[in-house]
Amino acid sequence: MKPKKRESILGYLYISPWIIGFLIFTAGPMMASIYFSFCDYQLLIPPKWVGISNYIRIFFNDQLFLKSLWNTFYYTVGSITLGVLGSLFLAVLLNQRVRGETIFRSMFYLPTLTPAVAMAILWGWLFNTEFGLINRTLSKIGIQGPAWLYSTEWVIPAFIIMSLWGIGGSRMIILLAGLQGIPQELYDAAEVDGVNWWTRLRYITLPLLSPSIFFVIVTGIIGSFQIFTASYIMTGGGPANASLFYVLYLYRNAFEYFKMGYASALAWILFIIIITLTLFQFKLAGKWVYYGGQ
Amino acid sequence: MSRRVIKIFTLLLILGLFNLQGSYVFGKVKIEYLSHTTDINELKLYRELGEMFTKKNPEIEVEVTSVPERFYEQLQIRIASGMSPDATFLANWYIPPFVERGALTCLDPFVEKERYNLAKFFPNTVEACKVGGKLYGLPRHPSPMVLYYNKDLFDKAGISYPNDNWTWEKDFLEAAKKLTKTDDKGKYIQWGAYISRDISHVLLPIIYCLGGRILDEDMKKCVIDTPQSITAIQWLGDLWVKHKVAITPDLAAGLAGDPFVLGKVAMVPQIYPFIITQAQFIKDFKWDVVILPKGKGGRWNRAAVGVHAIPAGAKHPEEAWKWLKFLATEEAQLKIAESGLVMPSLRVLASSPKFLQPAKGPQINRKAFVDGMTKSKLVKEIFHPKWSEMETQVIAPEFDLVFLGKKSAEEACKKIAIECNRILGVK
Repeated sequence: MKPKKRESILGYLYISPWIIGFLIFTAGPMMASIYFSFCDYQLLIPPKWVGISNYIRIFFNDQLFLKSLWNTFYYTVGSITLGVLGSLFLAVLLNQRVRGETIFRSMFYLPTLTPAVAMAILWGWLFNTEFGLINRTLSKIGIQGPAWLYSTEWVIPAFIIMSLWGIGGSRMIILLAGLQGIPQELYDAAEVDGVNWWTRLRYITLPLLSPSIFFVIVTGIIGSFQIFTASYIMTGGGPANASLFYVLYLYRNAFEYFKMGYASALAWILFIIIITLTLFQFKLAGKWVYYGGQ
Repeated sequence: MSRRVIKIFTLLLILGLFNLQGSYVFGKVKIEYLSHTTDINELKLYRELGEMFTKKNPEIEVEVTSVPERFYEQLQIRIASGMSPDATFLANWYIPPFVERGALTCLDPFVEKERYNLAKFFPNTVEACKVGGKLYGLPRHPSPMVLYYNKDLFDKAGISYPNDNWTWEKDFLEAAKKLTKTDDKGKYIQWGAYISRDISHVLLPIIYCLGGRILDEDMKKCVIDTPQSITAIQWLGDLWVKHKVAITPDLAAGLAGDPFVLGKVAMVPQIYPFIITQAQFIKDFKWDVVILPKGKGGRWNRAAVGVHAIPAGAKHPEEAWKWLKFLATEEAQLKIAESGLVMPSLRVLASSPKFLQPAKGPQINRKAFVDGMTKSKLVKEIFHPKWSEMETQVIAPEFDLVFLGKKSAEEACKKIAIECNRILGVK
């Protein structure tokens, strides 16, 4: 065997645990679920081909599909807008040369390490109507707080607020790395020209940071469309389906109502929605994302 | 170098093969029992029972495995992928959907062959393990609700304790009103009752007592839009909205523990395991239990039964049946009952002093649990294969609105009837 060929075989062998895992546990089930989405599949008995009738029911005869999609969309817009702004704000703060900056970075990152279930329980307390920290604080300044998780109007805002818990996480790290990659010469030159901080931010920082911002928005939206654990544990989709998110609805169809085929169809629709949104963002990106080399 | 890598891979492969589960251990048959428990003591108890069983049946060894999270999801997947355990725990409301998909072994052939005595169980628990007249599980424990009440709060309010003849509409409501207290500023500090919003396991029996029902007798059609049912649902909603005698779930969730245990509520409908999980820790007041009140609809209770069953595709059904029978012996049932986790499903044992006046645990009116099983009819809705879909998609969201006071019971019930009948395929 030629050394080169041997090397490439070894290479594949080394990454084979990942490749095999991906094929068996991700790609395989994905392909299978395309097929199941055209079937009446109740998990314990073999799937029965029903053509596109699952899709027809989803689009024309399923109010909860629209409701859960709307809930998810509402949550995504809120949590991504506030979340990215929050992360950006933190990243700019932490980019200052202050004493103990690494300690601050660790501190802000720490909350994201909390396990989802523990976080859900903790936030359940914070949001409590009478004794929760949030309503207690509001009542000190004379505001009667809402019932949050038990209110049809406030449950999604509550989840959005809860998602801000993670602004100091990996998203902020990426933005911070982006900030530190901006060459100091540009700022020095700006200073020589005597421009103010807003102009510096507007014409140097934001354009050069735009690829990082773009990345965190795209991945953020993908992640946020898949919100599940929080509502599964904290509200069970309630009250009155006000926090029924798309993936929770999908999960219920699959494992509570025994409709694996229907759930597979829901999953592929979600996939298409996310892909479309992502492609759309890439298209828009040409207008505002600046890559240094261009 | 590459040869070494290949050697390592081969080694790993061989090790992997060794790891395959062997169901034969040197001439013995090994059966697997799947437990749903999250409680280490219960797991230990079942392992002990397994050893007791092997002493009597030396050719069979029982391996107790547990899936503490998303149990039914895992069980379905294991059955679907041909890796069924030999025996499993199962809540009886999962029997109909599982049977509909051919996922459980019918026990009738075993019962007929040995003329196995089913009369030793509470009769309605055996009925609650059947689909279409066929038996799919042996009852492990019935799980009726009773009314737990705080004696001290009743004494303070100067009202007599609940008795066996209590009705929801009159006695319960009147007492609840007297037991609800506000402070000088009008803030609620004590409530008459805590009623969980769990439809399947708490509200259904109460609705039936009140004369309402969700599905008709044959469970073919939703009849929640009849005047009797609407009245029943409105009565429930009024507990929170109009009379405000029941603590709302958001306030209950904010307490540092269970509202009843903290002495914040005077009454709570609860099941037997509530003693071991909560009530046994009560130090500050005296409490007792009484049979669940009746109503103009009669006396009803929940049909929930914990079951031992054999999944379809079990490799050793004969041995699994022996294990099921062992778990239903007085010896095993007593061990389970002594742990305080559940009440026994054997009638004789449940009415014996071993259960009614146990050496350990609080001395209370345990007969209320037995009466709850023998004197009540059981609500069947949870056995409908599409119940879960109706409950979470339609009924719970509409009930939420009624209980929040945002919708009248009439409006909500009409909507529920339309939607449920659509799910049921009623034209």
